[in-house]
Amino acid sequence: MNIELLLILGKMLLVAVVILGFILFAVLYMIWGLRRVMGYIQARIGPNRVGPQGLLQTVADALKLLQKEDVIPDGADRWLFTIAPFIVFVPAYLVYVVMPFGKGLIAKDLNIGIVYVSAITSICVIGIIVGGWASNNKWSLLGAFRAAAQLVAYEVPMVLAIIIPVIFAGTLSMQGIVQAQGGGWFTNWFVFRGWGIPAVAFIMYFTAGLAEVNHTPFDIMEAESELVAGFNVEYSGMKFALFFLEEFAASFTVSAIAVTLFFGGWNSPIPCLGGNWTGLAGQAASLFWFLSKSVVGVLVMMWIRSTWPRVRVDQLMNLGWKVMIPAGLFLLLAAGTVVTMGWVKL
Amino acid sequence: MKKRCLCSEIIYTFTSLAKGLYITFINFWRKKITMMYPEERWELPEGYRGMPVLPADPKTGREKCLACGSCARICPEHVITIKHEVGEDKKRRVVEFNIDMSRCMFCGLCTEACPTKGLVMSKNFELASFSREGMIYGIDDLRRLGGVFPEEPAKEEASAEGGKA
Repeated sequence: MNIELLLILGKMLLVAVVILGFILFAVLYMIWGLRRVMGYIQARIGPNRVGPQGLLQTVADALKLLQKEDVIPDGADRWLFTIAPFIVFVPAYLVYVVMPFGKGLIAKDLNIGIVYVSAITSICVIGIIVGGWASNNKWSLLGAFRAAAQLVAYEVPMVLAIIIPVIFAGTLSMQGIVQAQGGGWFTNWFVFRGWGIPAVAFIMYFTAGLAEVNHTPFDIMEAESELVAGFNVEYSGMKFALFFLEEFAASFTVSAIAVTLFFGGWNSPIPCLGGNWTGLAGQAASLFWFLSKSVVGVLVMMWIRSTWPRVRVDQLMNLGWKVMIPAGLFLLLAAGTVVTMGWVKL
Repeated sequence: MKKRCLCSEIIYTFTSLAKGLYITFINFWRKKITMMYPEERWELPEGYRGMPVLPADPKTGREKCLACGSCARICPEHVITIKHEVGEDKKRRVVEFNIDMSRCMFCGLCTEACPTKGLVMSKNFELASFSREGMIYGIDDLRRLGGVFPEEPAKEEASAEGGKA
């Protein structure tokens, strides 16, 4: 009895550590990749000194952040100030519980997986508001206000966009949604099916997702030119590193969820490249396809980040409330009609 | 801005966004303008004014300096200090020639004032030092950094070009 319990606990710990390791590794190289990609787009080279091609640059930066003094400003609410980075980071970490990395490669395939994702990711905003409030700084407080307004506005269109593939797949489980797109060529992926309704939903999801992880062009909550650095002005050292970690982990999450819902998850685009393999080879191939699709999504986000300018606050709110939500409701109606009338082969 | 109908507004939005992405995509593949400095270097133009040095004359193997002090007199920053001695052959010979590079502004007046054209501007611009004393270059440094004047024909060419300019 006790041994069984220990085994279960050990397995849980192992999975947790593997996922944490994956997040840390992915974030390290996403930061490096972002700096290189932005550099290339701006006709410069980017970090290439520390290690081959600068691959160890972020490791060096993280070590530097570890050595930094952990400053808590005078007048800050010490307890909230300390806890805020963890409130932000833990949800970003918990989302990976239902991330379908491959065939059978999922920590826990909850039957309400996608609801869990949208519920957990919205906890981050509490941490951001707490951090902005506890800093006792007008810039960070303004950043936190903006974060609250923006995240509430974009939560709704994001969920509306998520519902579309759920309607098409008929399940809320992540693996179920992936399997509904599998078994054949890439034309089975939701973006290429259903009269383009999921394709529009994908654009909506991606836009709302960029806003959710306060990514350019919706990064008004940390707008450098107006708010210095937004909600994390006063943070330094490892607490700042946690905010940074969360931002990039959440970027990867947005890309990975988009891949899962619209681009076939871990299904290979062509059957002969791992789609019909079985056993360990099939699992490895599915992991490969999931990760490479997600990396493409992350690269697109970097591309967008270095291209489009930041939107104004009122433009952001207009887009959220007046365009995205009505469009999302209309799309939901259309998807429901198409599926119930049986006009689309599922 | 002209008022558009909703459809053309949507099309305009997406095309303008795509145009921006296209431009950055082209830029991504462009040749990078960054120079990997210590490994790659500029090709400095003729007449570049770096640190003044005292190259050796290939005939005598010594610097051409007469220790006349023109350079020290004309220097607007009083950067150059010279000491000389009179040798047994009654010729003045420079013994101390200090340039304080921390104050030098690279105007090149010293090289223009030099009657023998023995003091020239080199192309050396990497003069960083950890101390103020390290910025003062003595005669041995100026000889070492100066090297040797190029052989006669090359020198005439150079001076002819200088005359035209």
